[in-house]
Amino acid sequence: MGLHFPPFAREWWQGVRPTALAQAIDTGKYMSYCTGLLATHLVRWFMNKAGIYPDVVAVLGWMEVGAFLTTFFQFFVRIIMRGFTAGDS
Amino acid sequence: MKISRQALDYYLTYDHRARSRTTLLATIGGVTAWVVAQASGASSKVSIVSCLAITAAVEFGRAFSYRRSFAGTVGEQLASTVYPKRRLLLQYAASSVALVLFGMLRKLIEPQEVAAQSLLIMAKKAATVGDQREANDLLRQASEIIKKAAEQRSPALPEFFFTAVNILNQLSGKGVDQSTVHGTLIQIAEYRSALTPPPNMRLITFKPLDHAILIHNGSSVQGGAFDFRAVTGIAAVAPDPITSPADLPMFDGTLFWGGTQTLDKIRWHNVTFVNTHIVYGGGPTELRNVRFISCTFKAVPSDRGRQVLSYAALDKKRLELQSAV
Repeated sequence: MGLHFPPFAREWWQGVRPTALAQAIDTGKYMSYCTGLLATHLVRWFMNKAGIYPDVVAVLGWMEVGAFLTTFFQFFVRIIMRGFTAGDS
Repeated sequence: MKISRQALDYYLTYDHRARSRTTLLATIGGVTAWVVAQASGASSKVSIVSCLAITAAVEFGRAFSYRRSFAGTVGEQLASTVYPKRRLLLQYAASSVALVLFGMLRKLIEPQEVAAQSLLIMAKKAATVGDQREANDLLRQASEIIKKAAEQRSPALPEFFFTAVNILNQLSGKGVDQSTVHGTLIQIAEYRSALTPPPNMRLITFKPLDHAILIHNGSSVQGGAFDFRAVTGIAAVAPDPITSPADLPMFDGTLFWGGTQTLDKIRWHNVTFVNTHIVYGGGPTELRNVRFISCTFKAVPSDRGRQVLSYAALDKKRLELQSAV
């Protein structure tokens, strides 16, 4: 026995489904980049502990911060752009 | 114009591949801008602005220049939509779960010195924007964590001590409670001291006395490993008035174990203090290759006191403090 939604809810879902899916896919992409950042952070921590030349560790740290800023910014830019274009087409 | 809006909508809603490519390109651009800005010594503001400007240029540039033929019906357009593969969607879900778990476990696995360093950086930022109350609170929290880390002998890199002492030096002129800054510096010196392993030596044990050694101007004690745990007062005392820096008495290659010792009015060369309560009252002293192992500190809250504490915290090689008068 499946769930039965009232017609207006089904209609609403059909309307927002493509945007919701696109947003979910973008969120997933953002999350996968964040996991990459987490992996980089752990690698940097181990490199630091292992006493690897500090300048190399610093460059990796810069890349980590840059990637964090960029992906975070893009995530919100997409949400804002979707907000502006909603219902245009 | 309508076509352009339609194209943008299609790009944002259906063209997952194009958006994915944009994410990759913008990330490469943003990271490159950030690394170049940091490597060329630009300020944080300039770095952030250049990174976000490149990201925005790629993101908006690709979104607004997106072109596609919309000749087909909506159904045909939907049919041509390429969705990510199931495996990729599973990867997204796994990434989300991994991040949530990391967020939950972070407090447990984050090294104490990293937490303390973050608090010190936040305290510096708060002091910079004029929020002294917040800076004091953060500083106290950092001090508590450092104290705990010292008790547990939690390992820390030399970089932590350099960063921490540097931040505390910067906080000195920013209206933050100086007793808190001084207390935190003592904790950092004690933390560094707690991380140094003690040597294994045969000790000459002193009986319970007020003072174990009286050392006069112009004289020196070479070598020796002394156990001052039973001595109730200052272990080695220099009773003579100060004449010239070169005339100050000297310990060279000596090991002090336990007890209390003032650094004033004595030159210390290649001396190791173990489990000693170190006191500095602001007088002349000279420290060369002095090691503090599991020591506690009390120093006059002045620039001279800060120099002695920094010497201990940073494991420096040489410090000379002339007579203040």
